[in-house]
Amino acid sequence: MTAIELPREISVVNIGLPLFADAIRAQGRPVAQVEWRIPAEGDTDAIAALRRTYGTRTAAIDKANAEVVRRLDEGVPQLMGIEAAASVLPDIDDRTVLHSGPPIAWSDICDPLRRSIRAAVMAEGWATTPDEATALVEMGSVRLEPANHHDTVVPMASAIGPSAPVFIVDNAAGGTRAYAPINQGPGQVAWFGMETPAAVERLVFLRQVAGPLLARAIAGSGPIDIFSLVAQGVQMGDDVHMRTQATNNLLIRHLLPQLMSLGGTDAQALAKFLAGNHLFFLNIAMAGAKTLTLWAEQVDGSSVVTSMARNGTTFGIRLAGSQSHEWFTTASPPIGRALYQSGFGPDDAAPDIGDSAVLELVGLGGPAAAASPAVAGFLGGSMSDAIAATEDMERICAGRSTRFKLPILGFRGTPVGVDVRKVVETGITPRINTGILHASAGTGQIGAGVAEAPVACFREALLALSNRPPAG
Amino acid sequence: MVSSTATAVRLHKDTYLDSVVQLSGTRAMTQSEGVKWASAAMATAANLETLREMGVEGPELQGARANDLFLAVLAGTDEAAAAAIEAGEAALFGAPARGDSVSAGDAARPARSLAEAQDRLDGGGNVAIVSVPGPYAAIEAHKALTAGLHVLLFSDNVPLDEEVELKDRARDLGLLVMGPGAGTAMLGGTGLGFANVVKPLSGRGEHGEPGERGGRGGPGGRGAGPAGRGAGRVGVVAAAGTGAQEAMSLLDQWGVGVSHVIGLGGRDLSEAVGGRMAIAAIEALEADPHTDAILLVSKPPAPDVARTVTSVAGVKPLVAALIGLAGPLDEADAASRERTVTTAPTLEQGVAAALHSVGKVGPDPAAGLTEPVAAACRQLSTSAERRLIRGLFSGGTLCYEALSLLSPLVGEVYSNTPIDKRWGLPAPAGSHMCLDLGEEEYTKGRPHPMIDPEARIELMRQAGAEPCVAVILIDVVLGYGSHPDPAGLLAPVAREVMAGGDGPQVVAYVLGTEGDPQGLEDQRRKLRDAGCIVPATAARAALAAAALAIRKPDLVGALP
Repeated sequence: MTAIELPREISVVNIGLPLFADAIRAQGRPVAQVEWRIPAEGDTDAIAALRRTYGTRTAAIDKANAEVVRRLDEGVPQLMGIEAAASVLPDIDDRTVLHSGPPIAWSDICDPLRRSIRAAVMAEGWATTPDEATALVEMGSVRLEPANHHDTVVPMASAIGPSAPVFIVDNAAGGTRAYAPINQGPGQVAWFGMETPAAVERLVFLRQVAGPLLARAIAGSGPIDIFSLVAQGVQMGDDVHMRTQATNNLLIRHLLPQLMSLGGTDAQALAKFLAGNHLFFLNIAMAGAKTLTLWAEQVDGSSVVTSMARNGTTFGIRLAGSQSHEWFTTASPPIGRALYQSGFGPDDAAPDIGDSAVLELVGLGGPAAAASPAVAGFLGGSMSDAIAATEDMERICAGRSTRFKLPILGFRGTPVGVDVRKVVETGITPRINTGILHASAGTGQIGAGVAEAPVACFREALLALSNRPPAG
Repeated sequence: MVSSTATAVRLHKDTYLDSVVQLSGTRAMTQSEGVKWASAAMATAANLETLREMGVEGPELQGARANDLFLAVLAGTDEAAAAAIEAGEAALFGAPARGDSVSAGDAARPARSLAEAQDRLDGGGNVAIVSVPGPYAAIEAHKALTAGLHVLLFSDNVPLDEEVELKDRARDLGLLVMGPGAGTAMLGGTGLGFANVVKPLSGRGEHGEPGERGGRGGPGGRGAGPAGRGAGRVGVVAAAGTGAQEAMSLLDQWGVGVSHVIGLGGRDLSEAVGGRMAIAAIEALEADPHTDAILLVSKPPAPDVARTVTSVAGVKPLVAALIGLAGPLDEADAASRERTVTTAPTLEQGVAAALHSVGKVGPDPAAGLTEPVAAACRQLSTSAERRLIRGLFSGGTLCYEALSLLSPLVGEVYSNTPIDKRWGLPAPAGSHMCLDLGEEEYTKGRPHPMIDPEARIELMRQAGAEPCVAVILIDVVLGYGSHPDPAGLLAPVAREVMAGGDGPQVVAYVLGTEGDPQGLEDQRRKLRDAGCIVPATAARAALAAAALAIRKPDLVGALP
């Protein structure tokens, strides 16, 4: 118990009847009115959970959250090199294919991801046709695993086999290491849900050409501080999810001496590939973010989300400190505010897919929207639309980045650490700027839009947290 | 089936308005020409169900959610329905409808959370007033505590276990949770909620060394205590809203400074809550360098709780005004502890005892009252059947105090909040009755009588038409939060029901201070000019009512 000191002068926050604020103002004292809303849509169970987690449990949760935010904000991911997945990833065998999103059975996997998995099987040389690949998976001789369960994150409908080259990223302070495949680029590609010969050929190119050459270049440069490049990229108009142009260029500039010294026709092919891939940096940023969430998820009793991923069928999140590594899932949402290529529409669109939402957990993507004129153009055309997207994230985040700064908002840091309490309370969920894949035709990307994370899985996570015995 | 019924619905997305404001919209629509039924409310599942039952449906309601506001009307014609919607929106938003001035990125963007509101205050604020609906109130109060703010929790319908949990947390954090159901407080000279304006403690010299007592010799310092020190600043701890207002107003009128008023909520002194906040408040006032004496205001608490709470008293005098309490609180115990605890059975006596404890004497509250009461008694004696009292209260504590004073003098008094369970409503014919019109059964679908006197006006007219009624007793509560000119509305009605002496006598007590926005003397004058008897305290008003009912003018001079 602490002694109460009665104030000599007051300044007031008024939550509710405006007449009380008027009375304070009439007495010449400062008052700020909250424009209050019914929390959690009035859902009784969620209200009870919010009362506990904002009440008796709040001290422990806030302390855990502060540590989680510190880890997400202060960890320094370093790009170390590139290796074949099978030689570095924990717990995979030579017949494992990793896919995006939460765990899922083959029978429930959406069409674009099925095609991508078949492309990976063909690229591994286990099958020569999609039908053969399907047969292998259905007879169980290919093991399907969520990439997230192997410290790996993959964008869109990516699937990777054991021979696929992966970036290795280390976070020395946290002792965590994470992986991501090389971005496949535009065109006929498996990560957009295609299984054409060209798509398989791209996977082979990454394994045989791009991977080894990039590995040499990175080895020549030494470890690269990814988020130092990202921090500069944010100042140059990247949200580092939907747009990574600036950060791409910074990385290539960094590697230019090593790339130039590679020589040969393969190097020319690599240069052509890099020049045509404006999302090359995306996967590297994702692996960097994953090293931080891996560190953060070791903190017990936090209400901050440390995994957020979609497999095109389900949308799932996990909380820090959930030892069981329990996924809270719900149906993957449709992608709204969409722009379609001509000839396509909502009926052709597959639901939201990919692990890239890991970026939204560390202060990039949606939280950094206000940094990006390109994203603003997409969200509605004016910078105020982008600012609104960042401010929505501020309402549901536990802290702020000290390295990703938003010039247009007075160099305020981007919001970091999505707090399930705030998500459920406000009904604001992370918005994910993402591509749209064809739901069935295997024709790849047909548009882009904004996926709104469904609140249901955040609600489930909150209820589980509030019912869990307090940490310690 | 109802023939030729037109319906109109309008939905405002993401527009939360407080229920008081919703009611004003509902009322404006209902009063609009040709309207059979109307409602302005949040689109909760229950309210949408009501709409369906009323036969109101429409595409506007597709996907409506709990924070969307709807206006719905059933009327004779489409034109009438449309006009009602217009009237409703004018009442809800003021004309023209707001909403178009909001643009993203605007610096004037409303704060949507406690944290955002704190960002707009230097130092982040130190007090939160919470008046959201009960089921959600604890969440906001907890967040305020986490942010280090004292809380005035006005909301009702907060479950008991949530109150205990909040008060335990507050105690750990060294903060106040005033409420739930606390409408009045004053901290650092600023009134919170429904509060009266008391004079500032004094000029400069006040912010002296901790422990300094006195120092009230500043400019305009009224009635400095004996030898110019021991100024007598009283801190009020109140489990009763209008009780706190009566205490702070009388202290101010009688020339005593009020340091703080700490509300507790009506349940704090129950056995279940155990006086958690009362104890913390008394300890805080004991430690407060600007408080010389403490006045506790409550209905009589559970004996164990009373003992625990008063045992906290330290060196400063503690007066416990426990309304209706007969005899000392706990004689043996109090004597053995030689504590500076005094008890009083009325608010007026509590205030007088608090004055006494700091070496002051107040004016005679009965002064000038006997004469008009005697005159009214003479007038009433021409109509022998006029024997009954009708109390119509806006302040619950004032109603309770009146009940406790009246029954020993006039016998059974029936009420919606009876002091004896046998005297509940409905009242038998020929009985006295006092109603607390601030209770839920009278405020459903209409504003509190302190905010809007309309409900009381109807009941005054009804009582005025009853041939057996001798006296109508009303309270007129001033201060922040109350109607801007209640006497201006009530005085003409009082004049009308008194009918130049043919009707009952109206006794009107005005609770307030000269500093209140409505002005005490101005409000009193309006009522006096209308022919009302206007006593100096709530207790005297109750005595005057009894005196009129049984034609004994001398009663107004005697308190138990």
